[in-house]
Amino acid sequence: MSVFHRFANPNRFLKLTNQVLPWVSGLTVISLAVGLYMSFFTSPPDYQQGESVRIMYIHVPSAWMAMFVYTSIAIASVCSLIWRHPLADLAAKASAPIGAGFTFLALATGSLWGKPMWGAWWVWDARLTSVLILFFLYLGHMALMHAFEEQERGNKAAAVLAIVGFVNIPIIKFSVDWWNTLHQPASVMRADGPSIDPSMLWPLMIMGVAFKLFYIVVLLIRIKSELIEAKLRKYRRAVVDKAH
Amino acid sequence: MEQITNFLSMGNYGAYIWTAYLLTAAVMLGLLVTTLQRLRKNKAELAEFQTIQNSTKQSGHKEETARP
Repeated sequence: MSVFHRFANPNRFLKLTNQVLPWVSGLTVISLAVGLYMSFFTSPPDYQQGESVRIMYIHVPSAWMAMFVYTSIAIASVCSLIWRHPLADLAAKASAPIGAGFTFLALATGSLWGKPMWGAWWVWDARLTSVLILFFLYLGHMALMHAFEEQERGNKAAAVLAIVGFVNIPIIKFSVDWWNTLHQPASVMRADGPSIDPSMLWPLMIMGVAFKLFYIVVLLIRIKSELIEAKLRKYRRAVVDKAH
Repeated sequence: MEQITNFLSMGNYGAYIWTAYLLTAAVMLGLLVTTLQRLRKNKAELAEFQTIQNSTKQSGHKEETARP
């Protein structure tokens, strides 16, 4: 708990953020550049899918982020409801649009990959449908956050939605094992280790790291912005009180 | 030249691959830009409030000292 409380102080959080941001931003740019270079130049075309496999290097990291960001929101929501951690709500609020963006990308790039490989832009199978539900959960979370006059009530409603909706995450993960689907099963996060060749695994992993770093950069800036907004709300209220 | 067109055609999957990558770049850049714009806007508004607060504080002090 002591670690928790240390970061609960917004001023300490801001100070730490300002120190960390330049480094994380630099690492994001480097890993993106290396990842993109490897995706296009050092990784081979797939023996079945040809060059179209290169969509994997953005599709799979996007899908990972879609689930990772949602899990982060669910954890933040638990922290917010149980411990009333002051930064937890801000982290959840700041994460949702990023997660929604990545979920949209997972769906859109998957569609662009599915058309040449499966012959269809979209199929209503378990994997695709559960990810579409995830996208709507994100939108619902964002809508609830802004639905109430009092920010507190919006935070609480959104937190409950995030926790209840978390049930969808294992469904997404195991959908390819539980149901018949066009979508291929897991080839990286498997019990018996990755079944994908290192020449493709490396760029995929580096792109995965790059996307995660990008999330951290945007998240930190958004939380910073939210902290300022909280101060602005106080100032605005003071102005209104004075006017009355 | 042929090398470049070969690269861009991506074994005839170019349209799908480049659309996917451009879309990804657009969404990620969009997220970053809107986030930075909001931070800048908030910072500016906060600075405005703080200058107002400082000036009212100063004038408030003068009033108090002016009173006997």
